[in-house]
Amino acid sequence: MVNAVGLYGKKLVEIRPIFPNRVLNLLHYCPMSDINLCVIKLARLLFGEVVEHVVSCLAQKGGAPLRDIIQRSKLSKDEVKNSLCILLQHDLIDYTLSNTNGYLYRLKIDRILLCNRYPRYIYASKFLFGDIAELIVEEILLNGQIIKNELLDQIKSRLADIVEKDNTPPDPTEVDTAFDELARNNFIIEVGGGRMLVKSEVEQVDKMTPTTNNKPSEEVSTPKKGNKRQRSEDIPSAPVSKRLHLEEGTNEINYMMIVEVIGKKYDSIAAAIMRSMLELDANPQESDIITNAVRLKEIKSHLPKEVNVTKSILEEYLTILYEDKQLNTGDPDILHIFSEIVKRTLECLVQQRFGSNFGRIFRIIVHKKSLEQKKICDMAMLPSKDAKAILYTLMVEKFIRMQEIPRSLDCVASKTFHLFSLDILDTCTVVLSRSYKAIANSIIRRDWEVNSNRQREMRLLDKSERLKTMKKSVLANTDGNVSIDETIRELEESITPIESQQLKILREKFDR
Amino acid sequence: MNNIDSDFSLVDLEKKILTLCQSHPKGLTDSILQDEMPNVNVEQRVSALNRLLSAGNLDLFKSDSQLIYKLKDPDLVSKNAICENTQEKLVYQVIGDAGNKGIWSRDIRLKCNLQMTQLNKILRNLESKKLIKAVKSVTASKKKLYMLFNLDPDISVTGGAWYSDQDFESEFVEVLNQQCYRCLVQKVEESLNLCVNQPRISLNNSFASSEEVWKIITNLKISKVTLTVTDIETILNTLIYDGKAEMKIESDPDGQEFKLYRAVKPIIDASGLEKTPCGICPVIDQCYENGAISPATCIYMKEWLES
Repeated sequence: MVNAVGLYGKKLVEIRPIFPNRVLNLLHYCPMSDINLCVIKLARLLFGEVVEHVVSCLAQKGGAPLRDIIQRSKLSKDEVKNSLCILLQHDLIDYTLSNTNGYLYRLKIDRILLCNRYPRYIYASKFLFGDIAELIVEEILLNGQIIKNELLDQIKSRLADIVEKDNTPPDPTEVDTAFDELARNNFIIEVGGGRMLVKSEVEQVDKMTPTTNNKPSEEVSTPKKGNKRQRSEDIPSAPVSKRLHLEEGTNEINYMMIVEVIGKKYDSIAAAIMRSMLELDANPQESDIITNAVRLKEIKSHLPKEVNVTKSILEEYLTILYEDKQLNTGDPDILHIFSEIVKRTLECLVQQRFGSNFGRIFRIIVHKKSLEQKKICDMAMLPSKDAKAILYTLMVEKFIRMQEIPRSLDCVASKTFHLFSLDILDTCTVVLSRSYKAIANSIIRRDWEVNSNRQREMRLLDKSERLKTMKKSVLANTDGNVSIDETIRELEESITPIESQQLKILREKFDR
Repeated sequence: MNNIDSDFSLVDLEKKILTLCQSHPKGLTDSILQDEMPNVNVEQRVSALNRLLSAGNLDLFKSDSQLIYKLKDPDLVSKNAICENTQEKLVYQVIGDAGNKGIWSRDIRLKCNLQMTQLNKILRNLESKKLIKAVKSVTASKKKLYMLFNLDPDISVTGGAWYSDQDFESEFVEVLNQQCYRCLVQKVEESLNLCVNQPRISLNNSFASSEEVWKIITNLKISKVTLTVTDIETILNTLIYDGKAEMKIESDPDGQEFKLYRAVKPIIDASGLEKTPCGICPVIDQCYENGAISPATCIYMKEWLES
């Protein structure tokens, strides 16, 4: 991460960015059932039940043409088209021309799963560029892609609403500044075409019938990032729309994680130095492996004003970071620090899920790679029985694995080494797959809670209406009966104070 | 008269052989014997050696296709004399050979080729004569290991400072673990207070050597048994595996390496997964929408939402 280059007097610091293509995609190793369930439930959470059906069809089939989606989902043609339109607008599907079935729509699974990180993208933008940037990012994520002017207008109107409540004067130039700041830092990118284009794409795909030479009757262009020139040539009048650059957002989240880790291990000054170094590497080119080296002087001048350190102290901090073999901050490859963070996260997860003794044994295996049961028990300084139970529980839960190495040809158990080891990739896959299932389960539970609440509210409203009618009928049949007040009181008492409070809230909601 | 002479000369010969054995602790070979006693013929030498071997004064070894005669431990010889018969002697020898690591009765049986009942009787006899003792191993509490009465069991048998009567003292280890951690935390705090605005010096001062920790723990007098620096290092290593400490190895100007430990805070607080019930759910694999175990009706989720 931090690599001192050259002589002491001319110390330069190199930073390498995270390149998405260098990071192994764990999704290929996760069970598809868990991923699909998560993807479907995320679609439901973000866009509702209709889109969920469409996504479900696509997830089951891998890719499907429009007529298949309509047939399988049992939705109307318009509903399916609208759903596809929404998914296209949010860049969650793409389509390819098939030889037999016309256009095949495919889910962008990786991209849909990134929807889980929306709150973190919003937080990152707020942390880096302020509150207005947060509003802008929120609005873009809400719309998938949006034309600049439309976006700025919406933000300004939202700001005006906030101002009405807080009584602070609005400053419309701040919105433009925040937008420019986001664009300059590559957080927002142009996708061209705008929302109207997305709609037109679905229309065109729908109208298109495969011709004999298997080419579409009309050329349809997919919205691609950074394809502005080509787009503007095709449709000169189309307004340019903006989309959040999720790779940049992901990088930023990762950088924030590094800074946080450094802050926890050392102090806020070390964290600020790391942040400055990462910020100085503002626009890393994906093709470059090593970014531009940063001078000590540059880091010093880039540090926030509140971090007041002398050159010698700064050098000391840089040396500390460079010499850190635990976090691998001295390694020029940034992926090594991430692999350390991943290991620590897994250790933390095991400890919090099973207890401190499990954490200890898991760490031993992480540190020592491959060990026999007896050796692990000795190192853990735990009663042998407990240590064995922990080892086998971890193995059953697929956090560690056991390898049998026979010492004789007949593979007798007594003459076989039983080595416990850890494959970080396998363990990460187990955790990731559980995470996806947990997300899906949370969404299912949320929907269930909402539905049951709605039913409860409906029952409450019914009850209140019935009581009202009963009260009316009692009042209509008074005939000078003395016990009428008592009957009404009894009727009123049948609604508990909590129920009446809920009714009040419900009525307020309906009034709005 | 001749017989008496020959007997006398045989006893003399035996004494001479024993003296020679004492002067050759690595053992005597036939060639040495021949050189040292050129007047003695082979038959006389053989009969003298046989007598010494049967009396248990000598041990016979084979090395590089030649026989070596070594003097037996006199203590062993005297104790051998107490043994009633050759079988007892054999068992006693086998147990003696095992040293302070002891030997399992099954292994004795295999080595001596004796019946289990017979062996048990012999072992009981030897135990009653206080020639051998039975020791329980920490690795297998039901397994009796036999060793000579005067020997102290090896650390692999007793388990060292962490075992008392074959039971692992987990509480003792836990107390030591906490005390060591406290020492390291104090060291970090002291270095932070002393070295303000000197990050590197502060960091280096926050490391404590295992000897430093050992001294502090010894002064605290929390242990009834004497702990060594290696014992403390074992405990400090458990702190590393608990994620509470880190270690670095440095060498002094003489090139001798020493271990330095430092208390660290966890860099990852908690991942979001284990905060949810699904993160720690034991039956998540059987959990499906509308299934017998379902997220909609999950009691753990209910408790979580209500808490």
